[in-house]
Amino acid sequence: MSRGYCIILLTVWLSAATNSAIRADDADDLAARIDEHIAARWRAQNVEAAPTASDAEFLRRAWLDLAGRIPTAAQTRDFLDDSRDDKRRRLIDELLDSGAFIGHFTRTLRAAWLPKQEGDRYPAYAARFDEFLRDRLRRDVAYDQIVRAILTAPTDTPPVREPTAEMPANTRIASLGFYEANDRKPETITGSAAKAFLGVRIECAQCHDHPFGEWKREQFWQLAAFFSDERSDTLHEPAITVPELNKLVPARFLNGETPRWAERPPREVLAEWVTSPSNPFFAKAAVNRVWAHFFGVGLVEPIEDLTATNAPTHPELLDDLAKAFVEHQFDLKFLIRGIARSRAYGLTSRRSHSSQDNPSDFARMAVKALTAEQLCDSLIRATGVPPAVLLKEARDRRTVRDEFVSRFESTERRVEARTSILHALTRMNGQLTSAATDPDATPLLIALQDSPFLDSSQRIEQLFLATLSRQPTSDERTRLTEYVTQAGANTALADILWTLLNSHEFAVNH
Amino acid sequence: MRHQLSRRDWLRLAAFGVSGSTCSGWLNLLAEDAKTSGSTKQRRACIVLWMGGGPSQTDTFDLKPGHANGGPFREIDTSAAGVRISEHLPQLAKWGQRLAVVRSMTTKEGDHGRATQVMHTGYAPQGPIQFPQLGSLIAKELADLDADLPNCVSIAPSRNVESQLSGGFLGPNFTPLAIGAGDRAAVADIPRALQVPDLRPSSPLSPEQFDARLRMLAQLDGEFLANISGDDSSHPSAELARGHRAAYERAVRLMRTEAAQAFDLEQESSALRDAYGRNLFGQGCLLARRLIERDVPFVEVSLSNVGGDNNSWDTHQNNFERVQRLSEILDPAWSTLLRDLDERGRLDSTLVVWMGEFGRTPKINNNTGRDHFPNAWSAVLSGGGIRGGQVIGKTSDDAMRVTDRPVTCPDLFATICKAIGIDPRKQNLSNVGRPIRIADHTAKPIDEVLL
Repeated sequence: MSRGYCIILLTVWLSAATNSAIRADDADDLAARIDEHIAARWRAQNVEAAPTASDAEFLRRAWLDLAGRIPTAAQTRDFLDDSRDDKRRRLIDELLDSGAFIGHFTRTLRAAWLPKQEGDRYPAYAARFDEFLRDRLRRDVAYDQIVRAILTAPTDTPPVREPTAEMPANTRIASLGFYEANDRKPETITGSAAKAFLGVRIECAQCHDHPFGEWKREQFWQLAAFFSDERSDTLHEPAITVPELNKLVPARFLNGETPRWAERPPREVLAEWVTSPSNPFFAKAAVNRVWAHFFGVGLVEPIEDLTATNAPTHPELLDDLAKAFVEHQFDLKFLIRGIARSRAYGLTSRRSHSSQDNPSDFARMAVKALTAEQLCDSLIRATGVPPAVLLKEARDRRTVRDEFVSRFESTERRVEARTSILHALTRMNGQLTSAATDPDATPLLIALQDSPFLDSSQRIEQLFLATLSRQPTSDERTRLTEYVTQAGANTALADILWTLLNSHEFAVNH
Repeated sequence: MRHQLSRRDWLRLAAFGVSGSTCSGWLNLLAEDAKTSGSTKQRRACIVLWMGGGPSQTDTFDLKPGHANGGPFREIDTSAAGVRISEHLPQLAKWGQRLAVVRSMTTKEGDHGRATQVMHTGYAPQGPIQFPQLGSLIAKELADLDADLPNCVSIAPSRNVESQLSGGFLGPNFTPLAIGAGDRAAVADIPRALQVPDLRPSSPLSPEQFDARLRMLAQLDGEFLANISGDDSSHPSAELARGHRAAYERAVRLMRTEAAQAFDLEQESSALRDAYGRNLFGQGCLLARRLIERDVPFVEVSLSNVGGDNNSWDTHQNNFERVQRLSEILDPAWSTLLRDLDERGRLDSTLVVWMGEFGRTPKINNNTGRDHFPNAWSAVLSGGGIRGGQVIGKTSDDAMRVTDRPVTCPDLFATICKAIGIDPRKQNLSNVGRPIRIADHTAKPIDEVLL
């Protein structure tokens, strides 16, 4: 632990001026422990880990993971030119304090928690749920409190399409969304809640005992009973009728324990058990999900399947992370800070040795496809396409942005998400690309044309910084400068920008 | 038999050559050559009519008139003696002699997501194995890799289906193309919904300029791939990069050839389009016929919504009204598809499968609905490669159990394979290094159904 101790001392000295000195120590401590566990497995597996990522790599990665989009060219230049030793650490802290972080994690949690549905009601639920999440994240509400609020939301209000000013605040914000998206049916809500908050895939036990004996059908319905309006005959406990068996099953926790009701509403009792520090799944599921967000691969995979037969690759690390999360009152930013400060998070994604090929060794950073929103927002940020274009109607009352995002939406794991033919066509020919590569209209291109003091090489550099957040290599510079000379500046720059926006490099987080 | 690979063939191979996966070897090209050389025999194909949500068997193909579970629908005769179906499928009834109704499907999954996955891949999820879906497996066996059209297409997929649309360990060349996804609500412009979007640049571009862009892109992507992979390109990040190239190459092909004309429904007569039904499913079936005609080996058409929400086959409430409405869409589309294929001489070589992820409870619930029921349900095989006019298997009078000749998902898959001339025991190399059969090794095809 001596390395950890040194880091703590250094951190205390460096952060003397900040008022979060105590928290900074613990995040560094967590980062150090992460690295110890990771390195231990490297030794055990004879892995030669990749070196640290370049500044450009790290910058783009941190922006995408924390803010949901790439940095601007100016932000990139500033970071690359910054000579301070602790610039990466500062970057993490700045991004965590930004509004972009709130927006990105709102979308991330919503995508993880709210099941997508057929029909056209989903956008309304999602918007409502986003409002709720944004509010909680803005106020730095602890993770367990967020989950509690969802589980105990007042659902006795009838379903409403459009919230009105007269409705009480939390009805308007929280109760629609999670329950609506699950059709307000106990059995659907149960499967969804167990997956989202406990990392337990119990939904297949709805009709039969789990194939590998993990969950029994009875357990599913005992959990579903918490969401039911029925009551058992004798004890008046919350209960639910199992269809086909016509059996009334009382509410029980997953471990079979009988809840101590004490006249409290059933979902409150459930919420207390779910978010309890002693719940074996809650903290682990949360840290596993956050880990997977940054590393592309969870410590347990699939990330929503924390069962006895599905062992974590780093069991002590998972335990440590869960314990630290609980000890810090489920403070999300603390957890994220700890992860982002680890050496493991800062490794390059370039492969340098065959021992780096197992993604679960975390010997190099995995390449993750951008989400639909990340791709769209990065494209907009890079080129300056104005909101008017994005909000233009594409068809059927859907905007250009809606169409683009829905084309790229995917439930695949980011490390496995594939480019489809339709993706390629939209990126090559779509309206957003056209608007982003128009020499007469795209702000980025116009700015370059209007800068006579820049030569071709410098203009190309600006294009690379804006899109790929890096400098062009000397090869690229030479090759492309020649292209500009041959083809004529305006069209050539548009061509190069199109190429950069269509590249694989642009569409992934490496 | 020796075959000369033309220069064109070698160039094509080179284009796919970066792939490294099973589809690009020259052995495959020879095999394709052998399959089609000198043969006027039609290419076989499979269409799956996917009833997302789980269609009620008791109200479509396995009615129980006279029983409390039977519900209000009546049974009608079909053109085949002994095969009786719902009164709301009258046009289909005229094709009875080409239908094999399997009433004894029995599976284990009652969750939409899992059940959809099983009925698409033939396997229950098993950790890291990326099982390809049936369409991709069939495409791999029957497709012409030289073709410009994608070899596997899924029309109007529901969300549950969309998340299955992967070639899995077969690689990006067998990724299904999804058409009309995201247009699940009442669609104003159906022909447009079924077109391939963004086939032409939104603003005009000269071919030379487009070519210059593509060349620069190939170079940039090639360098990125090299950087990421070091000296070996068989790991996940490299797979992603190669998949990216493959998608772009196929997209450009679609742009540059006549292939995309297949998606232009305006080329069909108004009368025919009326016959299929002017809705997403009906027109989707018409599109399927056009794709089959152009030798696409596998097309899936989903009927999981009749416009607006709560109108899928997942009829927990208001079962009868909804099933009737869905049947009124299914009936003209399916029967016109059979007729249309027949008139074009394609019916004997095209298998049309009707199924969902499970059936529905025989006992009617308090909301006049039926809930999920994988124990005993129905699937139908129609068209080519099968002996129609028969019923396979039986359920009890109360519809609660299979009483005769149970058929599992692997059994059904094996039957589908054999009906279109594929060996279900054939193995493909999976992403975990283990070879995996097209159909699970326990599969027993329904011999009575095969020709």
